[in-house]
Amino acid sequence: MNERLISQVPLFTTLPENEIQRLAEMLRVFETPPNIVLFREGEQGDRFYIVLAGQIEIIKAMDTADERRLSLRGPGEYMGEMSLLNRDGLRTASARTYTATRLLEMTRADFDALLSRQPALAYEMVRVLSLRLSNAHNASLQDLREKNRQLTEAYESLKAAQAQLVEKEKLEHELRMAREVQASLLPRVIPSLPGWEFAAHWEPARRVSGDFYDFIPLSRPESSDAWGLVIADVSDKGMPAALFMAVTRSIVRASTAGASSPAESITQANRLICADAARGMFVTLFYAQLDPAAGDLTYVNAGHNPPWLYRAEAGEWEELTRTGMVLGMFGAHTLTERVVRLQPGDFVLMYTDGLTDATNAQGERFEIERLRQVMDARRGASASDLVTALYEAVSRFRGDNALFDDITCLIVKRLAGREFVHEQVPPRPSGSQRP
Amino acid sequence: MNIAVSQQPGRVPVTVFRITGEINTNTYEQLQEQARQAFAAGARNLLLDLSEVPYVSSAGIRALNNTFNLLRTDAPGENAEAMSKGLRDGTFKSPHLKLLNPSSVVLKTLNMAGVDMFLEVHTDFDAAIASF
Repeated sequence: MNERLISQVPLFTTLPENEIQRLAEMLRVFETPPNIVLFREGEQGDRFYIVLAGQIEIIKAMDTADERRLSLRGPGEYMGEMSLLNRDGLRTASARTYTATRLLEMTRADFDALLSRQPALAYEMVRVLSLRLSNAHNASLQDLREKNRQLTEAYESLKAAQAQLVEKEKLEHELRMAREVQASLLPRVIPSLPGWEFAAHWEPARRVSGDFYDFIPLSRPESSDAWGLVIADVSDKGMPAALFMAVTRSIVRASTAGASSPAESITQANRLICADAARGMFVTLFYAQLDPAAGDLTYVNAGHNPPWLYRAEAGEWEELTRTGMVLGMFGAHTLTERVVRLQPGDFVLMYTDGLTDATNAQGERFEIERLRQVMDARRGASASDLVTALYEAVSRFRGDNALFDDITCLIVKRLAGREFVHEQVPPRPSGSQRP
Repeated sequence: MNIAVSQQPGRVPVTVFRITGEINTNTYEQLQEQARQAFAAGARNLLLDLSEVPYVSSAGIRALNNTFNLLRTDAPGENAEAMSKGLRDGTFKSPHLKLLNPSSVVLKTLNMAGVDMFLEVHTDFDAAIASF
């Protein structure tokens, strides 16, 4: 049986019959299942194997990240000869069965004896070794090329990632600058009027905001220290809203300077905003002109959520409802105005819907009810205390829930006689502004 | 938000959007896009059924405004001059975009922004279709 198998091995086909018989007595035939390691790279080798059936993987750096298969040896091929020929006797690669395999095994002593009896075999082995060496060179070269390609690819990815990072940093920087510019558009000075108190809070949901408020000093024949009060909310967020906010603020300032009445001012502002409004953007705006001597607040509500007027004497709330449509939709729209007179102790709370729409982790909105509860609990408080209480209540309510929309609120209060004495403190550049 | 689209043969063909869910920052573009697609497919009259809409944010108002502009034509009743006069007199309403059954909360938001100043709000489906 073994003789027939041995005579079919290409390496032994030229051997005389008596040598085949000798080998058949000498060599051991054995079988292994797949994934069995026959020998490991670096080990001392004293066996030579010939594959009769199945396949064996010859592997460099086995079981490491760099593991690489050098070749797959099939029936008639052999392995393990190098450690028998090398001076140090160490395995130059590992061998692992790829499939179920049938092998012939030869010891070092048998191998040496066979080569000295049959020197022609050595020539045959040298020929095969030379072929394998050439294949190994080609494989190494290809390997190097592949590694080089991967390196180039990694380098290009790194370069692109770095460019993105630089771009992102640039954008971040621009956003920071935009926020600073936007904050500088908010009033630097809170009006200082005897008998009146003002407070405001501005909190963007993102870096920049579509909300704004403004205090505009007006020169009116009927009142030399009249002020225009503005709160507005652009129907978008982020940079487009911030740009639209800046345009709206300038237009409203310009429109209020020359016009004789709030309705005329805001009607004109709407015409100008419509000329600039892109992509269906619009702005809800509440504008009120305060005549501090009389206590009259003449207002235009262009689609803004109604501010609350608290009547101190009656302990009641009034809504300052719509007097026209949102700005930026129809240039031809004419807005109207209304007048309310604030008595001592009365105050008006203006806010954007980011405040009442702030949500908690359960998805509930803050809503007007909670706003009213906060206000009701502090009816006699100063404007700045009311504003602080309000944004603290909203912060507590939403907890870790991110701010979904910008929040702005503004309070104007006519002081009762006993509140008359107060200190003027310079406002902060952004966030809360309190006298 | 989900929009179920259907067609109603009235005096003129009317496309009905039955909207379910909030029209807010996250969904308003879906409404605009659906309106654009309907317009591209030939729809010229649109009824938005808001009975299953619990909330409309300012982004939703924007979508209504965009859709209003999409459907607006230069016909005598709705050209710039007619609109200018109609808005001043409070007589202008879009002949192409109408609303059906907003909840009281939604209606309050729409009224606050002034949407009722240019869009009709109906409470009866058949009457709404017949009004086009």
